[in-house]
Amino acid sequence: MIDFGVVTLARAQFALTALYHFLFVPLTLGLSMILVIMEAVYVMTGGEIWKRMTQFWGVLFGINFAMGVATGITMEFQFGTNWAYYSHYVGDIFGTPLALEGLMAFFLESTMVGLFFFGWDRLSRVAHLIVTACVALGSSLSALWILVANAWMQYPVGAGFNPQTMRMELLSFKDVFFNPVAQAKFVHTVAAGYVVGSVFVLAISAWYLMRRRNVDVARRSMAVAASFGLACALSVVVLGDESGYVAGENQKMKVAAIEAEWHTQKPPAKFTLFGFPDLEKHVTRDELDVPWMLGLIATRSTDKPVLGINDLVAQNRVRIASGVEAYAALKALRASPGDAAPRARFAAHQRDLGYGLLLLRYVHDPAVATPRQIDDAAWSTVPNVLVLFWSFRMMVAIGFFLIALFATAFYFASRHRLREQRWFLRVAFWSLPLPWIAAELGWIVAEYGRQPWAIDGVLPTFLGASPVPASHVWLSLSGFVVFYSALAVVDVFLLVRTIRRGPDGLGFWPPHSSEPVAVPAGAAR
Amino acid sequence: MFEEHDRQAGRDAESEVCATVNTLDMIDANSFRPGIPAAVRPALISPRMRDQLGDEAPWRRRLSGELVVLVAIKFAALALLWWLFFSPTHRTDVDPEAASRRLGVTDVRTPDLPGAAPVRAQGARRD
Repeated sequence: MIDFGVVTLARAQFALTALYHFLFVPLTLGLSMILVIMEAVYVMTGGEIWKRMTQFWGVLFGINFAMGVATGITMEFQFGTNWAYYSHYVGDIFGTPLALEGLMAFFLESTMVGLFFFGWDRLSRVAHLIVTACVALGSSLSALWILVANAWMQYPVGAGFNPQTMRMELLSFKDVFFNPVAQAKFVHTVAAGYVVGSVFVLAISAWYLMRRRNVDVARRSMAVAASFGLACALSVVVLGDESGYVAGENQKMKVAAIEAEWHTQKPPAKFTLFGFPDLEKHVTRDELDVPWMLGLIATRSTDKPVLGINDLVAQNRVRIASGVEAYAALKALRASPGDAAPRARFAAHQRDLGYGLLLLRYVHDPAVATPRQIDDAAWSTVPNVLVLFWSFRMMVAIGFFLIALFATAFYFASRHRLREQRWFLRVAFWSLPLPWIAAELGWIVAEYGRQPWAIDGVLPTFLGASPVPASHVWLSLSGFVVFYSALAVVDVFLLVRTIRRGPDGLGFWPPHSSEPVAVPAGAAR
Repeated sequence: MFEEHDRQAGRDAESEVCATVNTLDMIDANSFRPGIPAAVRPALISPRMRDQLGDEAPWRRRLSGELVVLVAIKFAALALLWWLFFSPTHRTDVDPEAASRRLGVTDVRTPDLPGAAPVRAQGARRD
């Protein structure tokens, strides 16, 4: 029997480590690109300060990069320890992009990071700029391959189930790589990472300006962060809209749950800006709607419907019945592999095998499932509406706030008025956690919204977990909590210390340590 | 908007950058460039640096010792992790038969208990 306690623990462990790891990933993506911009200005103008700025932000990038590596590796191990059946079932497809990520992106990134830090006095300006660009490219390639793997979990294409090996096997690498979900997720996620990096630079620079320290570095950094951040924040909206459209095509239940759309509306569907979803009565109270908007986002049309949760559940009941047929055929095929009749029957219903497997939560043999159990299984395909509804809206609200923040920063920077706007500097500094909150909420929308599937429509999450004792998972989970807490303390300590010391304290700028640096009384060092 | 200041700052920084590069080159010539023959290295070091570093500088011995200890700790930690999670007694082997039992499509039901070795099919791969 499947121990659902172990499944919950394994899920909690993966969620914890993934959420934690995702604190570092977007900053690595964003800061690496900002380093490229700053160094490119240095190469083009020869201004020494731009080199020193690159070096200073590079130190913060290095601290974050090390944390990202340390926390990312443990996630891959979990596929073997806690998700052994998942790894068997889909490892043939899922493992390919992960391996490519290690071989292509991570090796490039890691090698170039070394050259970035130790190559300043050994490489020409242009060569070092190429190195920095390779670090950024490696980060983005890393994100690309991870998101190709992740997108396959959301929309499994280019693969088929082999009853002999009892696993999904890769049929078309091209289809997996050019998965529309992967393309949409990649650009959206990378642009979001650029926003995180920009807010980081903006907020830290605002802190320096408030204290009248490192003014030359902070002004330039804010100008870069404001312009780059504004462009990226606007891109996030456009690319997020594309992500919504792709989800509307391929993950209708997720879209319906995000919108708390219980019933199919007459097209074009309205978008619920605000409301209170009632999970018991399947209604959303006190709705504030925007006409047409959901229809335009999810279908790019005014005449196509966006299916509601009730209708999707009804469709899933039919697919579960078909999945029961596939399951019975698979059972017969396993007993007599050469038999043509079950093979043909399996081929006819293979697409719905995953839906049949959902019944294993309620009954040993799906063939004897009662209508009530089929109904329960159909409703289990609805993710947590409340969590998705609010996570999505908070993410979007933060996104629009950040656009306003960058636009204001850009306006003040272009008019050389950043230093005088102390109210804005305070807002910019206290906005520091917001992009991380938005990024984590985005992850929750994407991954929690995929439930109950590990692979959408193919493998229910509970079937992928390893049959290990709960005590083992508790042990490793506790280890992660302790280890990651220690890492968090070290990370925050290093970042805060580096920021407090600043380019002046670290000797980056001004270049002569004997030069007097104006530090107002009481300024924190 | 920052060009004039940048140019001035660049000139100011030039001398320090040169000094830094020279110092790094001297240190590198002695310790970090395997391509340079040992016999040639002393010629690349200034007399002052040679006096400071010497042939067997204490910091090199200390660094070597620290590296050895760190590598040993790392290997011990890796061995512990392997034993805890990947050793044959602790890992979960999955093959087509085990997957088949997991999904309940094999009639012979073996409970998925921890440590229960799955029946391995001939030629089945380990995952």
